[in-house]
Amino acid sequence: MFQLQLEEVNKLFTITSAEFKFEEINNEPQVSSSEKNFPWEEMTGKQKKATKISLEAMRDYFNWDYLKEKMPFRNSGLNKLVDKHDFQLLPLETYLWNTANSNISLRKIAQEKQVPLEKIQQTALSMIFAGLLEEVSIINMPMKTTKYSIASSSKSNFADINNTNISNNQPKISNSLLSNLIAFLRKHF
Amino acid sequence: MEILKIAVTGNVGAGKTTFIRTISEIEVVDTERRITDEKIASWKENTTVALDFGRLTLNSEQIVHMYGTPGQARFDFMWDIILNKVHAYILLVAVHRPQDFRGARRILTYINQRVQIPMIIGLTHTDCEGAWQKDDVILALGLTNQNIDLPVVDVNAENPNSVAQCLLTLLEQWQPKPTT
Amino acid sequence: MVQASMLNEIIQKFVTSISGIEGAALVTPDGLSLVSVLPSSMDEERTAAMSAAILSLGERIGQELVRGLVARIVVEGEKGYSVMVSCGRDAVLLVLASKETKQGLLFLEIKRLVRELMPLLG
Repeated sequence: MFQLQLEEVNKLFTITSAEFKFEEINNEPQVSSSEKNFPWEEMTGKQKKATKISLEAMRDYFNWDYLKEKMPFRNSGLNKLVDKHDFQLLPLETYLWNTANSNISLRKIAQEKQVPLEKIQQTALSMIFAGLLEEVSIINMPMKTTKYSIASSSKSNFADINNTNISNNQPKISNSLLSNLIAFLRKHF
Repeated sequence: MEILKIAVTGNVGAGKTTFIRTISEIEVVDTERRITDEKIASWKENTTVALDFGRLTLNSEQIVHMYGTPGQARFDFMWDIILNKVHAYILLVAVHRPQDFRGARRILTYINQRVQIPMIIGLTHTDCEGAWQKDDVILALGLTNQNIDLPVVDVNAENPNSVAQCLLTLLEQWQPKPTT
Repeated sequence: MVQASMLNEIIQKFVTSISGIEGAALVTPDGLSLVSVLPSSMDEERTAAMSAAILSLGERIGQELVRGLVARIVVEGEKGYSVMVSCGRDAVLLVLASKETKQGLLFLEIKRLVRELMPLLG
C-alpha cells in the first residue's frame, strides 16, 4: 500500500506548475480543523525520506524541459554535500558520486562515459535536489598567477605557465591605507 | 605606491557596473556589450564581457582599484583572473530575482574554495517588487550552514552614500572600527 | 540569426581547406557562440566568451590609448595563434592557426573570410 501511495507522489513530479499552501499542524491534543481532513485510515505508519522520494521520482521524470533553467552548467563540477549516504544509487549516479570532489566538469564526464551531456546534467540535478551533491565552478586554466620570465635570461619568449606563484599572494594592505580609506569615505560620502 | 584591490562580483543585473560607476573617481573603464541573449535582453540592455575598472585616489601613495566581473556564467574564467588578484570582494545579489540565487551561491562556493579574503554580501534591488527578505536570502544562499560571520548589508548601487557604507562595512573585516 | 547553415558551411570550408587552420568560431559580441568548428577538446561556450572578452578589452585599449579602430587581436603562443577580429557589429570571428602558418597569409585569409561573412550577418 505504501508503494502504491508513493507512486501517486511520484506522479506529482510531472506537474509543471503549481502553488503550495502550507498549513500549520497543531500539536495540541484537540484536533485542529486541518488535521480533521487527514486521511488517518490510509496511513500505513511507514515513512521515507523526502530526498529519497525525490531522487527516485526524478529518475522517471519526463518534463526535463521545465527544469532547463535549473540545470547545472556543462563546465561546472560536482562536490559532495555529505560524506556518506544510504541512498540506493543507479550506476550513473554512483559514478557521479565517486567522481565528485575531483574538479572534473560535467562535459568531461559526458565525454569519458560516452553518455549525452543532458543525461549527465539531469542525473546531477536530481542528486543536487536530493542533497547529495552541489554544483561548483571549476576552471581549467592554471589557478595560479603567471610569473613572467624576463625574455633575455630565458630560452623562451613565452610566459612560463608552470613557473607560477601561489594564487592570491597579494601584499598585505597597510593599516594606514585602510584608515585613510575609511576617513575618505566618511568625508566624501 | 600601495594599491588596495577590491572585486565586485555577482549575477547578471545585480548592479556591479553601477556600483563601481557610483563610487569611482574616473569614468569607469567598462567592457559592456549589447545583450543578444533574448531572455536577458528583455530586461537589460548591456552586459559586461571582460571587466569593469574604477579607481579612488586617497593620496599620492595610496589608491583603491575596483574590478567588476562579468555576471554571466560563461565568463567564469574572468573570476579566476580577477578574484585571485584582489584583497577583498563584494558579492552583490539582486533580491528580487530569486532565480539567480543559485548562481550567487555558485559564485560564493567558488570563491570560498579558492581564497580566504575579507568579503561582504550586498543585497541590491531591495525596494523592487518581489524582493525577498534578508533572512530568506541568507537562507537561500546557504549562509546558515557556513560563513556565519559573513556580513550581509542592503546596498543601493546608484546611491554614493549607500555604496560608501557598504565599503565601510567591508573594511570592518580588517580591523576594529577606529574610535571617532 | 540569419542563415546559420550558410555561415556554418563557410566556416567549415575555411577550416578544412586552408592548411594550418585548426579551428574557427563566430560569436556574438556578448560572447554567445553562433557557429563553431573547433577541436573537440575546446568548449565552444567558454571559447566564445573568451573571444568576446579579449576583443572588448582590445577595443578598449585601442580607444584609451588612442590607437584607433582595432583591426585584430593576436595571441601568439608557443603552439600557434589565436586571432580575433570584429566581424561587423553583430559578430566576432576567432581563428586558431598552427605555429607553422605564415602570419601575413593568415591575416589575408581571415580578411577574405570576414568579407565573405559580412553580407550574411547583415
